Amino acid sequence: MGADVVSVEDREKFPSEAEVARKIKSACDGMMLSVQRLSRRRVWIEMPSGEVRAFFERVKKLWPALHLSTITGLDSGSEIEVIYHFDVDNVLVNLRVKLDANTPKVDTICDILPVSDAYERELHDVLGIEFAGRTSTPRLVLPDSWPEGSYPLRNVPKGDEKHA
Amino acid sequence: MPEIEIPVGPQHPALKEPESFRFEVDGEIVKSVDIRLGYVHRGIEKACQDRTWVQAVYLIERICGICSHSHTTCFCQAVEEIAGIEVPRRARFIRSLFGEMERIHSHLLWLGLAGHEVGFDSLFMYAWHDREIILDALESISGNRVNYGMNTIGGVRRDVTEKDVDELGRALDLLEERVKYYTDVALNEATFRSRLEGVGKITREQAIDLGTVGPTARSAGVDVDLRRDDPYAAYDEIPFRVITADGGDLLAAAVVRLGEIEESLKIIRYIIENLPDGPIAVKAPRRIPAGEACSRYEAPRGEDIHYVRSGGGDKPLRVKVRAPTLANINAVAQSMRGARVADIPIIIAGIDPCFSCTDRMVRLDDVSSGRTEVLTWAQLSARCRASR
Amino acid sequence: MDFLADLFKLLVFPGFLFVVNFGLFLEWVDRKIYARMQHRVGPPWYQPWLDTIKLFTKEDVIPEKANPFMFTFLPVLDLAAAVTAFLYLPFGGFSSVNPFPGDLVVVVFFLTLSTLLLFLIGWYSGSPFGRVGSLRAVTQFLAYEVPLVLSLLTPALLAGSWSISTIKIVMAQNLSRFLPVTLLALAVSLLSLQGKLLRVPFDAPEAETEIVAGPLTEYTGRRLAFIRLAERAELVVGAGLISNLFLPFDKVLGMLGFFVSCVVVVFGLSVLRASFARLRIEDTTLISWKYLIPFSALGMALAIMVRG
Repeated sequence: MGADVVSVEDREKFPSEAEVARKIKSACDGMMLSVQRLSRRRVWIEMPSGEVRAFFERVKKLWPALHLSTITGLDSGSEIEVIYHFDVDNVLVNLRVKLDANTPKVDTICDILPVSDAYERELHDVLGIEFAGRTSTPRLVLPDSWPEGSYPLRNVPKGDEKHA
Repeated sequence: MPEIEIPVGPQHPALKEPESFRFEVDGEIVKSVDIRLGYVHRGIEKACQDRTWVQAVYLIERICGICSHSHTTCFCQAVEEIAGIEVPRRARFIRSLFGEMERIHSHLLWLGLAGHEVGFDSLFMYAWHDREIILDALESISGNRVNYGMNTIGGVRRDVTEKDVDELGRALDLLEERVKYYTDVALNEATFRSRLEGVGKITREQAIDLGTVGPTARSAGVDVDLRRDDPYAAYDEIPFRVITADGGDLLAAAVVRLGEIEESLKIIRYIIENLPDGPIAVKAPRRIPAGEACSRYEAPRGEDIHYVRSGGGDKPLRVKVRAPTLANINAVAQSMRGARVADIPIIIAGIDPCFSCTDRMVRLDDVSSGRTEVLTWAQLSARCRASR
Repeated sequence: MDFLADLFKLLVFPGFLFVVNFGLFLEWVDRKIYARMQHRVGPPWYQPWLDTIKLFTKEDVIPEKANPFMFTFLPVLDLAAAVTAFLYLPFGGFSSVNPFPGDLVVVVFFLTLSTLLLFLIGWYSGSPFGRVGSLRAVTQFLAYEVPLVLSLLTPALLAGSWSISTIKIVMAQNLSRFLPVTLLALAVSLLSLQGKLLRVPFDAPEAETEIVAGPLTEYTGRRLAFIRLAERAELVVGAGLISNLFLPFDKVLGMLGFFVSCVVVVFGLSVLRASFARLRIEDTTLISWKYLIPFSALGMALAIMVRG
């Protein structure tokens, strides 16, 4: 029980973020994937929304113990961004896809990473993102009596702020 | 015997916060469970967007009463990364110090609750009695017992004095002895042990597949700890052990948490012996440059993750919080199948759930008109003032 | 005058008022000892009375799903059964109201009756917690009733009588010789009584964190007060019965002796409560069949050997 004291050398054995980014790029050969930037133990990448499933299938094959930390959704005005945060080799990879603000829709990854179920349901609740391929998206954080079509984290159109 | 539906929650003595679990039971065996979250969703993420960066820190502190320091540290780190602020070394050590003190009081709280859930109230009273030692130490340094208000963007707000260090040293001696005693009780008291052993069991593979974090994952043999794997604050300079166990049951969870208290005591000793001199904070700009960052923190319950986006203004554009309980709740659903009714409370308690962290919108139902509306904080407080 | 005297016996002494007040006193003893063992201050001596008065003044609610007649009638019957059981106990130099050669069996019967009433209370309250609690209460009843009766029969065997007062006289006369023989039976009877009274570690039928309050979940106000008083009265009967059969100090010390031996029994029960976690219902049954019943049988065998 219990590992030994962690030394500074151990920490340097971790693969670097550049290495992780390289591995992801080579696994996802042929996809429209762009590594936007690297920072300390973080990799930021972006890709078109249609390839999310294929991406996770390949990455999961490469790192079977992949840990999906969470999925962030945000309304940046012209579009809705979905960011998948997942951990591989102690590097947090942030995969961004941009969706159309009027009909935000992306494929579900529930069957590849069952953990995403709760995160997808939350995004459906607060931003109204459709996850194609799910049989149902029951409410997670909002009460059942919450009105359909009202999404609390959507930006309110200009001139309408005082009612928000 | 017919199947009976047992509702546990939204109000139930086994739950310290409102959430709803519905169990189909056949005799004493659980057939299925339906979990419904959101009862303490307070819209903190949305409310952050209407606050300045500094105000948001204090709101985030109130996500949870137990891991308040975890959330603020996580948030401040993200903001500091966007703004490119270099936090002074002394401030990083003080952040780690509070993080470990918080871990101790959180784990002692868990131990007491675990005792209570299995009807061992003596352990509950004892553990919470000794938890006061660390709470008193927290109070004498920060002025507060639970929401310490220590963090600010760019560092910490209060310094740790020589006198605090002396007092803390004495508290550690006392706690060390008590923790040994609790480890002995948890491992050797026959009825308590029998209520934990083999209960709420998950395998290592399940722990990975279900995305569990923190002590829940470590008790199933998954060697993860962000303090080592993604070091923040002063953890890249502090030697410590990551405690894992391979049982995957609640006894292993107790062993891991008690081991972590012991390890935290050592970390605190190291910090107060090696506390560097220097300033405790640098001034942060009122407007944070545009950018985004994602910060992780090993909270007492596991990985806490904050995503922050700035548009260059004095308020955040988006703050996303994922507290550890949401990641661990899957493990509860998994280990409930086939469990005994008697083990329901302790399995729920086993992940050390913190539902106010998990849920975070203000919602008002106008009963008379049947209208539901979402209010901003300003509107809500205006409405409160009007009705006074 | 006879009628008035009987009424006095039933309602005041040694009947209703005495049993209830003594029960509340023993509750305080129990709570205080329990609190001190947990680093707590514990309640002041009058707290159990205040709790009872408060319950009597609270709003009266009958849940829609409950059977209104049973919901009201069962708590009253429960209290009546427990108080009646006490009338058959001699104590503190007083003989019982109606001593007869088989009164030990009657007292045990009334104690059993209140457990069965608890089952009905839960079953008719219309709550899923109540139903699960009721089923557990009955399961547990099957577990501890056998060792309880076997251990209570040990002194009866030694004395060669089913009459409590005769057993008491014989035990008191031969205390130094018989007490060591009955120690095993005393221990088993204390554990079984703990189970009978649904206290930790045998409180699965009322397990707060699992099934709220088991059979009592839907109860509030007066009806709850009645059930609580019945539980206190059962504590008096249980402690009184054990003190009569095993620790007949009152033969020497009178009323004080009875009080002391009851407090000793309650102290034993409180220590048990403070030192264990709650057992699952199946573990309770297992412990009963694996340990309590063999040991109570062993106790009886010892008694038979000593008596020759």
